[in-house]
Amino acid sequence: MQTQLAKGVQLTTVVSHQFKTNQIIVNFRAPLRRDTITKRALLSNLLETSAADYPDQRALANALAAMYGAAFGAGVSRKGPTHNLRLALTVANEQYLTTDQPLTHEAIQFLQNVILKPLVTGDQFDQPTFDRQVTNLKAAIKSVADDKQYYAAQRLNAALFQDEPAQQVPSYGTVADLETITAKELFTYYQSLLKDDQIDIIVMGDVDEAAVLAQWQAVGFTDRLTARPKPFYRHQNRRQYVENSEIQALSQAKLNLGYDLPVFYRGDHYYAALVFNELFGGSPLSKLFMNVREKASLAYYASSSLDTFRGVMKVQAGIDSKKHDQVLAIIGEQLTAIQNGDFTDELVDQLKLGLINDFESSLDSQRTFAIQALIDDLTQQSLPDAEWLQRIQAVTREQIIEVSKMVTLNDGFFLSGAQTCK
Amino acid sequence: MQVKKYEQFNESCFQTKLSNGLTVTMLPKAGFHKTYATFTTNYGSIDNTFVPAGGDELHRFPDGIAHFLEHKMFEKADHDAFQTFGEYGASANAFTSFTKTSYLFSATRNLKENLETLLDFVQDPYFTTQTVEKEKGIIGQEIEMYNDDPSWRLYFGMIGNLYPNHPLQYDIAGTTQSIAKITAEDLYAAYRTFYHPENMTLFIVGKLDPDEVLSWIEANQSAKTFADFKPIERKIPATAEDGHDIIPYRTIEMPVSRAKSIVGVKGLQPITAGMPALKYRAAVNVLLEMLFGDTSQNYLRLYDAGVIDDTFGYDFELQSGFNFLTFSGESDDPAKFDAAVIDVLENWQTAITGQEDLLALVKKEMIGRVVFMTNSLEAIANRYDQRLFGSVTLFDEPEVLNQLTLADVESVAGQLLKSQAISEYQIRPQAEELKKSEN
Repeated sequence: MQTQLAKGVQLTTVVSHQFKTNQIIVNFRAPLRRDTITKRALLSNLLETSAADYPDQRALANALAAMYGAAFGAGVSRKGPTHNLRLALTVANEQYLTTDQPLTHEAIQFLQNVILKPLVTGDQFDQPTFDRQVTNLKAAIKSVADDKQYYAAQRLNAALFQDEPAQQVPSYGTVADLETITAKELFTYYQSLLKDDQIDIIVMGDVDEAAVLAQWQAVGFTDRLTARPKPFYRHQNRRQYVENSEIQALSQAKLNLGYDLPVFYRGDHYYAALVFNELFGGSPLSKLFMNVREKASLAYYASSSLDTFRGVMKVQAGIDSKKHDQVLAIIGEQLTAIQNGDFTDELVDQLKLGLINDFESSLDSQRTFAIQALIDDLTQQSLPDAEWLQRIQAVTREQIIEVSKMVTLNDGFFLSGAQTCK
Repeated sequence: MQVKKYEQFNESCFQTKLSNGLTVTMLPKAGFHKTYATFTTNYGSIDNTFVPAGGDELHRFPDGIAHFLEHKMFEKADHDAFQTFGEYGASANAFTSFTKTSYLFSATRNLKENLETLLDFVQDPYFTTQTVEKEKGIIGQEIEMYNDDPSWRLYFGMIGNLYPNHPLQYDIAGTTQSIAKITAEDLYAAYRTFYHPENMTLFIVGKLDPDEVLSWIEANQSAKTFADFKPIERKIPATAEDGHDIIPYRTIEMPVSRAKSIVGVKGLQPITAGMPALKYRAAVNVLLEMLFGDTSQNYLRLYDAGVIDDTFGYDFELQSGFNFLTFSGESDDPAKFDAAVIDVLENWQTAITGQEDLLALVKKEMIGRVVFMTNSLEAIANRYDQRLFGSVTLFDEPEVLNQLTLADVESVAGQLLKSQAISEYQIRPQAEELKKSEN
């Protein structure tokens, strides 16, 4: 059931008996802007750890524990040209516990407290709490560089979107930004976020829809006067390969490649692109897995993934530093092979079956329903499950070849190892 | 087939032991689209010294052999098992732990074909000198990747401190040197010793009809013959009961931006398998929550003082033959981090004695979390450990938690948190950072 609580504020309830928990998600969506990314990331940390009713982490943790260990989290993500700040709360369904506590009602109340009554002194966020979260977020951002796979992916992303600063910066922000944001400025921004962001509330589980609706209607959300953010960002194809590299002390090198592939979510070529990606590097039956990893033993991992909200494909491989040229060549050969139709119909059928397995499996996760509802709202379209299956089945080998010819290698990042620390 | 009903959860568990010795457990989940199956042998990385089936003397095998065997099981003379699963739309995987090796698949369609594929590929070894040599490159890459991972190094650094004379300290995958020695004959010897149905379990959860699935399994198994099973003789070195062999402190340097620290506590007393093990684990987990959980006094105090932050975490590892606690986190001052953690451990009474309300809150939280896990087929399957807990499943845990008293928690704390069982390990940033070159 879907209800418009105000212009740009939507409540979606999904009733299901499959799960023994109920899940509530509140998503704030705004156009991705370079100057608000870090602010939103910091807000997510603040909202996750404090509120006026729960002034310190222990008070907040106690409230969650008292709801039979409700799981609460906040996070940020980028989707195309949008930035999403998301709060999620999962709570056990009381019918599987020996209690009369109205857990879902309490859970929604908790979320409303967190969102509407932040921990504020005067016109700014509580200073000590703010300072601590700035410190923690800085530390978290710095630590990301220790995860070499993530670091390499981040560097590739920055190269792919060199024309657009907002797309280059990670969705969790930068340390430099954190040096300049004040507790007052952030609270001012939060007030505008509450007023202007598109809000999606999704409640999923064995719930009383009318009661849920009444509880959210009571908040009195106001109409959003800003325009809906666009769902897609179009990557700029530069039609030539440029590789950046860096040497660090590590034993396994990382080679990340970025391609332009102008195919967008549920648009033209979309279903063929899904199958193409499975064939190229998205599955254990793929060309990259079979030939780069298995046959030639050149890599520990080698896979591809699509970003159909920005029109790019990425390849990530963990390799021996000395084998860079060989790996780059063999990855290129796999793409050429697909362009030349060098794959069997039987394999295509298996890849489709794999995609269908993934899709049907995802229906066993409560999160899937919320994520899909958010995407449907972003793109303003939806598709019944049966039709998704039918569209995958209908993909032909010619369509796969056509997609493979739309792919252009643009950027690479090579993080290689100097063997100094063993 | 034995049926155990869990009324509170509206679930039932079906279990039987086949004539060849294989234990089969099934848990149907209404409304689910997927079926998840794990086929597990009680054989892991610590089992490196054993009497090979048919032999009569202990033999020391190269470290990493259980994991190597797991990798090689998928490859057959004329096909790859991954491929076969792919043909039926399943996603397959395998993992090796200290004490177990598991092969698994999940699929929404073709359950019969996928189950048969799982049973057949694990029960049909094929190793040649050529395929074994080729695998060494792939696993060598895997080992190097883990070597670069500071969290992995931190964890194994601590295990090395707690178990210096025990195979637990070796990386599950071995080292590039140890795996270089593995031969096809070694793999066959390990296979014949540990992959007998009597030493294995099959756990299936999700969309399934127990009678139908059992009939498929029985038909598949009755068509195969297995040698008579003889109890497996493994040699796992004993470790000092008073903890005197524990290395109290080590530190290494790695290219990390912030120091990482881990404090470990070795369980010095053996734990009885079955329900006692389940109760012990529940009591320890409650103890940890009361000492360091986010509802504890300590957590807030240390967090606000900047001693711990969001990277702080703790874990209790309980497996057949060993158990230990770890507390880890990033810190600008790892010595201070360690001292604070050890202070809480050595003075556990402060946070536990008389804290009935906190106990009630923590129990509530943990019971709720069991309900969370019942949504996950993977959690239900991976929580099952016949060797350690017998036939109990996730759904037995709320009752165990319900019955826990403060006295139980205090008794476990007194038994586990001994000063001589505590150790520290730190990874510090390299003094001189390697010069970065870019082009």
